[in-house]
Amino acid sequence: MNKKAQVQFMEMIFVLLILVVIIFMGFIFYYSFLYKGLEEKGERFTEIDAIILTDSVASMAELTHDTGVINSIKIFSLVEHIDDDYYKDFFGDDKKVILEVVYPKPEGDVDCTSIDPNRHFDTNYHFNTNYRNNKCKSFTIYDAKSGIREQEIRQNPVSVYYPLTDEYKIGILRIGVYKNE
Amino acid sequence: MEKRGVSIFVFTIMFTLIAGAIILMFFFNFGSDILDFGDKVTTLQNILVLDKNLASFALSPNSEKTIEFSEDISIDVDCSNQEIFLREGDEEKETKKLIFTPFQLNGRSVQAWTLAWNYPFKIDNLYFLADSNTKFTLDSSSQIGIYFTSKFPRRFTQVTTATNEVKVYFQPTSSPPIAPNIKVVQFIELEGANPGVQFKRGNNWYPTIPVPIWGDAMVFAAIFSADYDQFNCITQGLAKQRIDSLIKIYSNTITSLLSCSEGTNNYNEISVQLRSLSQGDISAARDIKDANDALKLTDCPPLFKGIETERLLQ
Repeated sequence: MNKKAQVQFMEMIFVLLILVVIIFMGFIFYYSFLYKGLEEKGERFTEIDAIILTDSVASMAELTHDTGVINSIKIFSLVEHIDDDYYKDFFGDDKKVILEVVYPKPEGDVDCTSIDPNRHFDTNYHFNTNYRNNKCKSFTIYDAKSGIREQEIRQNPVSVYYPLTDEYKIGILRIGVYKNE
Repeated sequence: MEKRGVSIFVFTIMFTLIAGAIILMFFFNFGSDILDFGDKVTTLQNILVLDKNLASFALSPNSEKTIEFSEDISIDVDCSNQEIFLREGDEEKETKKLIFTPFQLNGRSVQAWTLAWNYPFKIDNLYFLADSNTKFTLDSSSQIGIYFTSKFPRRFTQVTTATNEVKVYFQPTSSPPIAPNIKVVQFIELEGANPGVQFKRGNNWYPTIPVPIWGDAMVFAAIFSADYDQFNCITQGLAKQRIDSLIKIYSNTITSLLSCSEGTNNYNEISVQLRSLSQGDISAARDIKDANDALKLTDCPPLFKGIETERLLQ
């Protein structure tokens, strides 16, 4: 092989190399754009899902006293059955739903329906000790506990009814979603 | 040397062809993936738009509206294995909403109506959907027909360009129309002790023993499903599950209210009747309503506030 041929061969190898690099970069760009697009759409769909859930919770017969008014006693009843398949499907496997009472402020700061990891929950204790004495600041309605990071994605003001005293308070319904990263 | 030059040239041509083909395939796949992805996203968006719109007007016990889409849709609301799915093409989403629709939803907009289902307390909202190709014709030749026709939104009856039709008889009829694009529903004893519904299948009414009707809202559910299999799938599946869930919730809630001594008798009566209702005793609904109404006259909180229509609460 003379020198000219060697130079031509080297040129060709160089062109080949550049071409391979360009194709490789193309693949990287392609998949990163596709992944980013999927992620954005996923987030948008999660947001729409949360909007649907917020509206659905606010009109759920298990919780409401009247249109858009949540009956606080019914929350205790619902939490007793929250492990039923229907509610798992209804709320989704990555959601957390909390009702926080904001006005007038309760005398305590207890989450009266929070369930520990072993799913132990004493309705009577919380109801008689905290609820009757106006110490319930919040009520965990549903908690999938399915991820390591929880992000609140939506909150809605609601009216909360207390049947035993025939009182109405203002609360905020908070919808969170668990993420794994 | 000449030979070597030729072989390199041939090799270069071959390489260029292969590399060109790979690049072409890459961009072709890229384009087709983007198109597929776009289609899937649009389809999912259509389903979510429908679901979101239905959720947003569930707060109202009786509301109707037109749901608009960004493009033409072809959505099926299908009940199979007692679960309800919103389906368009290959995409589907399970929904926990009690949706009734007589035909596939086509076009750029859908007419929607929601009605609270109370029996005697609110069980859930029922959702009724139809596109602009569907017309409902209600026979209002009887008093009961006039009553239900007056409650039926006009947007479903005043359709001028309909190709599909649902004919409704509030009293047994002997000569209903038969055509592939017409579905026929007939109610039996709507004002009697055992109100029921039958659906036209071929030349016969089906089922032979009418399906019991639980409350006014269920009359409209039967009209909008217009098909025994769909109606039965929803009422025996998700609707039954909803009744059972609510009975459990109210049974539980009573124990928290029992401390109010003035209402003990009524709470206990409701508790007994809830058990009867869970076993399918329709008459228990009336007793629950009466006991709950009695509680409103005491200082004790009633179990539920819902206002129930008097009709069909036998």
